[in-house]
Amino acid sequence: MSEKSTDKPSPYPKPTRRYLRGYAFDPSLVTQLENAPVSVLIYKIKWEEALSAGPCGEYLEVIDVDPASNAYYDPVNLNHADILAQNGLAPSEGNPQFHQQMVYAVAMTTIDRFERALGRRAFWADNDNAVAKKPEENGFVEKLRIYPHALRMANAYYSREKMALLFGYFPGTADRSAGVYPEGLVFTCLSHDIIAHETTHALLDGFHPYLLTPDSRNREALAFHEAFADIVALFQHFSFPEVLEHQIAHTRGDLSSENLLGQLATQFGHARGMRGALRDAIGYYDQKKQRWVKREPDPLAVISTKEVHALGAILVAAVFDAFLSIYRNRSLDLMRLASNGTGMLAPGALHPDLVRRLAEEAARSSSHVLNMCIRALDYCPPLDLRFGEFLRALITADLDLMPEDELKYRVAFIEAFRRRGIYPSDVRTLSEDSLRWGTPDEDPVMTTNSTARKRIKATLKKFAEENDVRSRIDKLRHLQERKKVWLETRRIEEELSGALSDLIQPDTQLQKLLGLTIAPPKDLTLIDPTKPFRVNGLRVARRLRDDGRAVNHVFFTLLQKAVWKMPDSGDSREQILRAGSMVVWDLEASEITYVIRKGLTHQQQVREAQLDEDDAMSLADTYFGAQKELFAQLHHSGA
Amino acid sequence: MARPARKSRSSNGRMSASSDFRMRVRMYRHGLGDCFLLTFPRAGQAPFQILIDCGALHRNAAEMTALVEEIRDTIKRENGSENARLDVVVGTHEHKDHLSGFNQARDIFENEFDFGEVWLAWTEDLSQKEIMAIKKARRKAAEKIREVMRLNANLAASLDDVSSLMAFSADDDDGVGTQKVSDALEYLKERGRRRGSKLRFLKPGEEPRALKDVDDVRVFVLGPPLDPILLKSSEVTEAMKRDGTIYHLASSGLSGVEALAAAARAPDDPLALQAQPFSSAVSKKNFKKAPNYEKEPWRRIDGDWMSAFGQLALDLDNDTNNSSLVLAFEFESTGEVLLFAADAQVGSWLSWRKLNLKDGRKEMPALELLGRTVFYKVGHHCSHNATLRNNGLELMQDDRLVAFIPLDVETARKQGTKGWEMPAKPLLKALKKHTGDKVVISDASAKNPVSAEAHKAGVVATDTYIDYVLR
Repeated sequence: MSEKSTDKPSPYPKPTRRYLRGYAFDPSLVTQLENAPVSVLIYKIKWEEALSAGPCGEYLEVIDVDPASNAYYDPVNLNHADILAQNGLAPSEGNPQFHQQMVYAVAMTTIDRFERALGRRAFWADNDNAVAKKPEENGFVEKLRIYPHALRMANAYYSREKMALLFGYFPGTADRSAGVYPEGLVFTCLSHDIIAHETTHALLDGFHPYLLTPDSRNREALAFHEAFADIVALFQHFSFPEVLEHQIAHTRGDLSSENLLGQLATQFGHARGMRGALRDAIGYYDQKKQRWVKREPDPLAVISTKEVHALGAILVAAVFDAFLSIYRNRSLDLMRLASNGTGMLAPGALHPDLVRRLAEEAARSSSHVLNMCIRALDYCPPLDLRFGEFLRALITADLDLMPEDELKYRVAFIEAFRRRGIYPSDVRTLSEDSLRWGTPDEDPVMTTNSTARKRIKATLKKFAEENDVRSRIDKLRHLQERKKVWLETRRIEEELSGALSDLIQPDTQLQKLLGLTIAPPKDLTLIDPTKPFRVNGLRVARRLRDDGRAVNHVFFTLLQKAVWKMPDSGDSREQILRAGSMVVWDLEASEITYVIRKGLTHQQQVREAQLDEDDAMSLADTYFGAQKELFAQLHHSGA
Repeated sequence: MARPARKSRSSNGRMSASSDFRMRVRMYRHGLGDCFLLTFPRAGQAPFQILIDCGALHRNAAEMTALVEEIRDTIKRENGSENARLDVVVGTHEHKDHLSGFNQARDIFENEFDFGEVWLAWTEDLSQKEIMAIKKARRKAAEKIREVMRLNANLAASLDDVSSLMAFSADDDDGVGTQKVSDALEYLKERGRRRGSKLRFLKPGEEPRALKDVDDVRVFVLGPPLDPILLKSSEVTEAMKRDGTIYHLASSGLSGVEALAAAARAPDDPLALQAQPFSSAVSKKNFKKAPNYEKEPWRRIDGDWMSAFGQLALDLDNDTNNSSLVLAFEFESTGEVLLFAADAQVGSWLSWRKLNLKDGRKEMPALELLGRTVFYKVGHHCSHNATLRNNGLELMQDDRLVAFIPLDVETARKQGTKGWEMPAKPLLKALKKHTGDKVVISDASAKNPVSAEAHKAGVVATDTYIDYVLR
């Protein structure tokens, strides 16, 4: 079936993009007169040469089994001439091959968005399923599996265990007043938002695998995972020009009023009888007033909210608020031009030119905001992440790249977070420069003795030169195949672990700076004292600064794992304790730019506080014990 | 019927007004389930006896009969009467671990007990249409889950956790009664309707109830909540309040339950076909034959869809728990409160925040009672989400506080694949801290004895029961 274009060289230039039709949001818009014109669009995704039936490409492998129906559906071959000639199969709820095309198109769009923001290849989390590990691959997972019809329920989730996305389908509510076809089938795999959300979970887990590990996660980190997945799904809406212009015209340029762009999983929400989208970054449907209401920020909610989705929603609202301010700022001049300088638009529809220009500003703003959020991931601590720390990471990442901030993007973020009471815990003021992570020179654990400081700097510089860090990283850049990049990265990490270990063993000052515990207190035992830590998650970023200079950074984490004998008398259990630091290394200057520490003793305090906190547990924990499929449970109540 | 007696305890064991206590709470030690006998001495007549629940998981009719006989004999002895009279019988909610005794020892209840009033939660009043609809949906879902386990042995094997969870609403444990939990509830209603008895459906916020000829005691009703959202929740989220997501079942709909259950049927069964997402023209039989599916066996998803049953069973369990009748007994002159929370989950606790109780002409916030609580019957066998910390346990500040947990840890441990987390360790720890180590578990043993602190507070244990005595 598949046309092997590699058989003989093609005389034609290679395509760069694959055009695939799909739903802009989900199938529910198709039957709304107002939104029908923008309900379907063409996803332009990266051209994968070696795409086989499934679709099965470099990153993804769609396998369409439906165990609840004991059936499977033939895989679509997107390279078939008939499909290529018509921009993919036409959107259809009744055609499983289109479902496969839809999940593939949206998941690839999401991956592409990440790769563009980071300037490097995306990787999935390693497979730590010991049985399945192939020694030569060392846990490398090339393709994420996607099962579009895995479940017969109103749920979809990312499975860490199986390195797969599982999507469900279900009959909607029978309630005739809900405004949807009673008991009509709803496929979660046809919702752009749900697919983007789940794909982001997988990408984020590949990025920061220890946010979810049972012995190092916290409620805020889980909420962050949910929030980030929503943020990516939301801002992807703005990359569809047709939809954007339609909604700008509809809201007369005011994106803080009710609109499709700020909503997630419309069909899913309606089908569950919610009278609105599953989630909405700006407002909500008020059951009593029976209309949409804008949500006012509540600076206390972030403290009192315990449930993970509700907590995540606060972060989403903050980021969306920052976006709205940026967009408003960027379009002020347009609004003035269009209103004879008054800023007050005349009633009626907007001029199409104005709509197009506003849409451009909205698209640009959203793209900046999403970029800032994704790049901030590089600057986040590897575990025990807090919302306030995400803000610090975001500000730091942006300061590194855009020292000037002429359009005051960072201010917009700080203000939006402040309005929702999201603060980091350990900064002196809420200004940009105090939010920025501290450099070693500003680090309170560092000695104040200037010769000692110079010595540490020199030691590190010498270390980098002796270990040839620069050229090894450069080589990494030239590797094309993801698997080769992955294997080479692991090799560098391995060597770096050994060399760094030798370097810091005698040097307590360096240990402090890097947040490592080599001689732990009595109640802690390092898992492997001969290898007190390991280097992990090494990644490179070569980005162009706004002044034209290149930022050339390497990020890696130093992970420690210890057994903690718990103090509690009745409960002489032992617990695994994880700690880690994120090190940002400047390749140009051969020095440490930042260290973001979550050391063992700190983590010990964090876990201790958590033990007395049981509100986070769910009823399922009582009966079924700790759940393997974290997201299956998390998503049940909120997708 | 009651004869006056001068001595505090007559030779035949009868109790009188000059008893050395004002109230006694007796927790029976019969297994994983609730059974409480509350005794209030009265001047010049037999004491006022209240039975709150009588049930257990995994106990046979002989065991439950022995328990009910014990109760019968106690009351006969203390009342000095021919039949054992229960002035009030409370059925807190429709779960086997609270009601099974009314089926398994039906004959004794029928022939040897007189019932005064029967108290049930307002959510059991099936003359109300909405309640009927909810109950029906709940029963249907439970039936569907059982049907799946019956129809398909392969599925049943992987649904071990679900099946032990379903035990709360399952039929009795032995062949003596083929009765269902709902029958026990119907029986209580029927007894309450008989001549000389009275059936009451209690609602939070109503006038407190007085106990006939018991001075100084008022009974407040705190739950089940009237707010349908709180009634349904083990965890109430902002989103739920906002969206009015009331019922997991209602949100995926009974149709969702049916579609799920259809999967257990034979592939050519019309119901199974109806639930298929695509026409047979595009479906291929036997999912295991899908290309590449078996390539990496660790990534297969053969049984993942069945987690839906687990969630459904949880929802059912939780819904019923939140329909628990929550009672607070107050001594008016001293302000002491004894709180019986049945199995109320978080949703019910949250509703107390906004609940105002009628106190004569005034109103009293329900949470005020918590501050004066000296005895707390711990909710849901000390699982973590049946005792709210903030605006719950934290408010119980009386130094005299004693907590009783009806629980058989061994039985709980054998449930499901991993055992049930009862007692929840963090909660137990918090309870111990809050009560100054006056936590009493009904299966207290030599290994886990009743603490000295509890003894001092008036707790006395025997092999069959543990008493808390308020002097």
